[in-house]
Amino acid sequence: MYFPGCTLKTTALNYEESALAVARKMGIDLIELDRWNCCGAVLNLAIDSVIHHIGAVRDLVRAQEMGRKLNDNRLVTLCSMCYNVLKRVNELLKIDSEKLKTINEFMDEEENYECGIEVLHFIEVVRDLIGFEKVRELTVKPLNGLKVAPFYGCTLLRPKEIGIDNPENPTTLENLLEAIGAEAIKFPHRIKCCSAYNVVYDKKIAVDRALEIRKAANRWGANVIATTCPLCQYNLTLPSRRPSIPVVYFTELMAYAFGIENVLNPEVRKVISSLLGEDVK
Amino acid sequence: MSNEEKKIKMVKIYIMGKMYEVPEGLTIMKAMEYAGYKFIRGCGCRGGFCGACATVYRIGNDYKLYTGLACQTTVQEGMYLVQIPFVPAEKPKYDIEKLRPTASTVLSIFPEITRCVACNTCTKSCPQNLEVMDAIQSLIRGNLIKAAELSFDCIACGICSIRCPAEIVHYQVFQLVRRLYGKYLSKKAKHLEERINEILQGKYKEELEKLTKMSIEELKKLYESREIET
Amino acid sequence: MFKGLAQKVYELTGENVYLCFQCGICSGTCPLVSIMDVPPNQVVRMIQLNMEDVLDSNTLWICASCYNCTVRCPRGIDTARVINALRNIKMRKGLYVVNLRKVPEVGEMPQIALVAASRKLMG
Repeated sequence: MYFPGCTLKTTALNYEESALAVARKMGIDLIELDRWNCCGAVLNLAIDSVIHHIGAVRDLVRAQEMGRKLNDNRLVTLCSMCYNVLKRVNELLKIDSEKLKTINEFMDEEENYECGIEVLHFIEVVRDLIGFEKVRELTVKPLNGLKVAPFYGCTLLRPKEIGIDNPENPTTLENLLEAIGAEAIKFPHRIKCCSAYNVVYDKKIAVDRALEIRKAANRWGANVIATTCPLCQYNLTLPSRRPSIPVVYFTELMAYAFGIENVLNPEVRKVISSLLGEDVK
Repeated sequence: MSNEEKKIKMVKIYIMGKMYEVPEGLTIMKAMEYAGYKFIRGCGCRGGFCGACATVYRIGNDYKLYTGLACQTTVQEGMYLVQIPFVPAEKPKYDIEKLRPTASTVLSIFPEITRCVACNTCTKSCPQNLEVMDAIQSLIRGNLIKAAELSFDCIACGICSIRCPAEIVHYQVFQLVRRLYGKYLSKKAKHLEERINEILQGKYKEELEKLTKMSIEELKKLYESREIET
Repeated sequence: MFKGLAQKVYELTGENVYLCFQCGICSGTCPLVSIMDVPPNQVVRMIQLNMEDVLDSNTLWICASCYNCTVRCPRGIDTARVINALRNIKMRKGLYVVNLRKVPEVGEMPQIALVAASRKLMG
């Protein structure tokens, strides 16, 4: 089962298209959840807060309903922020039965949530279910010459309890990039924060952060940055003074490597092909 | 009382806290008028279509809040009533001619939609049983057409907006959605276009002028002898 | 056991701010500390000393909850949660830091930015 999140259906459509195509190539069928609503993007950390969790729980209930029909309790997300919220709410309700009861009673028009859903990020599926060996096999066009700086962003790795990898020294994206033939540049800013929603409050903060991260990637020799979250993508591509280093989603790189680059946005395709030194189609 | 007259059952209702006994089977609006209130506001078509007579009520010892239209809902024993004749709403100015028919347009004019916490209070309070939350979420998801379909029967009574914790004014949003849909996306009715052309070309001008010149008696005769389908 | 602000923070988060011994790792690792007027370690200090002025600092609104501070705190204090608690104290009184109608280019931003802003910056 697949939870897109609001942004993937609008401003980040290319992330979804490339990811679904890549998933199909790997033999996974991602079925979109029925009637989902916005998960809330950030978790309210006050322990007595209930209303802010309702959106996420409603999605988990939908997953529960659909999971019964499909006989599968796994919910995959592409957006790192959605992953963070859904996973943390899920873990929270597993240990806080009072809150679960309150929420279930408030949502009297839905069935009770029974904490049986497993929330996964797409990268975890690639790493754990498919394995990088298979990724290597499916690569028909290894991205030789591409020096990719993986940018994890914060919500994928922290807090430790739900992070998909070691928050100080993650290796997942690097291994993935190597499997598709690219060179992974481990630059120190890869686990930094893009400043997220500060772009709404004061755009300059986001622009400054983006500049710093892009300068660092350049200094370490990368020629493209790979992101996992639509907000990081937006923040890192805000206009700024230095000539821009291209920022793409990791699934777009995978799609190119698997030879299905026709699903990509033509601009992205041009960027990747020109970086590889191939003729621009 | 004659033997044929049945004894009318009375029920107790509370209008703004004061108890009244009214005949069972009346609508809330009629019951309030029976009790002596005169509606000069918060009353419109009396047919469940205009959304003016929004009512919020509780029943007896039940803690739940119920909503409905006063002209359509019948009274029950122990109803505690209050009328909401007007719901404060503001709407930013927009020029429909300059807008693109996408959900992003609606979001940029009403960005507070993103405050929706999916609590579903709006859906629960809609007297028309519309799926209000799903319509708003369709917009966040980028699906304008779904939002237009789900909100089609909205009568703009305002009960959802007054209960919304995110302070969204649903009916203003839906109005924009339906205007965009109707103007740019839905199919045009061919026969409507043809008829409008005929009118502009003056096909019915003579008939209309003849009618305006007739006297009241002639009009009455014409009306009474018209063809009625049975 | 706690007093004033520390008590309120405890009620909202379950964190004991008195565990902090001011090592400064949180501020050192915070990606946005250069724009904050009160760095995270000083925020915790001000809560310990019950200085209510901390509620007027801009730190509360700049913090992106990236959790770098929490992951690195040697005493295991969830600093991001503590700052979020201060934010909640202000928001629950109805403070709106951002007016969504006045944000430029609001139609082009990814929705998650707007949704996150609604949750974090508005009551």
